[in-house]
Amino acid sequence: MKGTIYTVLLIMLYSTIFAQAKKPTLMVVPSDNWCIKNGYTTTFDEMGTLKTIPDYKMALQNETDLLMTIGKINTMMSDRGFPLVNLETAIKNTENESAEVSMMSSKSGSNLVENPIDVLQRNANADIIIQLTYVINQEGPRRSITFMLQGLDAYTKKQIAGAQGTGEPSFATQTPVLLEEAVLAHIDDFNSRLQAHFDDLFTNGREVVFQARVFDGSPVDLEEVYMYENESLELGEIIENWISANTVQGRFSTSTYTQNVIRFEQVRIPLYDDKGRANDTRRWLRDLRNLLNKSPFNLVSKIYTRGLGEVWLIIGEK
Amino acid sequence: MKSGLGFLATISLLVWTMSCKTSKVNQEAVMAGYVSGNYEIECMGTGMDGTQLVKVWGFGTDPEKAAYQSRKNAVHAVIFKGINAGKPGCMTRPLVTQPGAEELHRDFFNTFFTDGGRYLNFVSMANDGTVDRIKMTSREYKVGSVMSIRHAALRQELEAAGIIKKLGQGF
Repeated sequence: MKGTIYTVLLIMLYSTIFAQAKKPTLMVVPSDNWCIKNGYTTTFDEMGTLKTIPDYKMALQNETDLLMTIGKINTMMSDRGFPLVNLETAIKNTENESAEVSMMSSKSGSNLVENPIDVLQRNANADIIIQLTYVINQEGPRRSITFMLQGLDAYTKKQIAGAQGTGEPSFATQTPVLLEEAVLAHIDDFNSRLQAHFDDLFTNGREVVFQARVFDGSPVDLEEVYMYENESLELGEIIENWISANTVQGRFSTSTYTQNVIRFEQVRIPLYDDKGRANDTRRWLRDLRNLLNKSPFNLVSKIYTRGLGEVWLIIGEK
Repeated sequence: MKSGLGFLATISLLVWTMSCKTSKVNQEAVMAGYVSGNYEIECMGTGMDGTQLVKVWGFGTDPEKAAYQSRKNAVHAVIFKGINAGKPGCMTRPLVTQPGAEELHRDFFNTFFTDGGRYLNFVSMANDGTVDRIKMTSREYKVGSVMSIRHAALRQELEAAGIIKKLGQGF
């Protein structure tokens, strides 16, 4: 008995001391601008409107310079202790997974269940996208490179790091040499800014987006009034108060408030919960879901996550 | 007679005050670098992976001392100032961005920058040893040379010493 207690205590102590925050994933992708200028795009019809999106697979299969640049950035980031998700491997993995999901069945012949949302979420994705753009400038016989790296938070849409500049023009320099020099010249400044973003994250919490939504079968909407803690408040206001109490220094802003959707932005959630465990958006929102499940609300709700940085609470059904 | 003595005393006082001022200026110039940060540095381009080339100037009472000081200045600039002049290709942001870190880790940096200290592991002459030499005064030289700084190794050294964080530390 004593042994069990000691083991449990040791595990708790270990998890408190060595708890690590959830690590964001980073991936280098060529920018839309680069893909369109170099002709690596796909066009599709979305309800009568023609849309052009970058074709990463085609770009990687045809542009050796691009592949080399992404490889160089990945290697240098790995050397600095922060390995990145490789775009080419991520695309292949997504394709393989799709094939496996469609072919897998149980002994009795049951197939894997997958709804359209599951298919959509299977796409290659990362929490922070490092967008790469480069242009070779030709001035007479001299060539130079304009190089740009942008670190974009996939959820807040903010640029959190960046490095750009034009190199020295030189005679008869090959493109791969120019590109390698550009990566060497810019990667450390980029990392320095990325580190500043991580420092901010540890001090002020992870910035996420939270949306409260309502299923059409829900008995209530977000303007439903409840008597809660001796106050008469709309359901949306009760959610707002909960967010204020559960964010770092009460930091958030409400950008949309209607009877069906409330969108909260710049929501700073703590990296660790009150027990010292690593926190993520799902874990953070679980308490609100449980609160709404109890009296006086008695509401069923569903948590839907979009990576590390966005979460929805949909009220009315699971 | 009395007025002559007074005149002499005034002149002596003036000469003494001026000599004090000059020696202070010289001392500051000699110590320029780790102490006052008053030195010139410009980027000469990107070196091999994890290195950058800079042209840096140092002051000293003789060319040898000035050249020695310029090495300290080069490492100091990469750690605390960033290289913001010259050609593209150098880190414009310093390795240490925390305000007051130089004071906070004073013991570490005093040891690091002592004559013959560990800073020498991260800097080397990038050419055949040719230097630009300017004689500022009869007792002061300004020497400029192109140095190669191993900034990636320097960053690792500072990470190991706990001065700066490793990228993504805490995740």
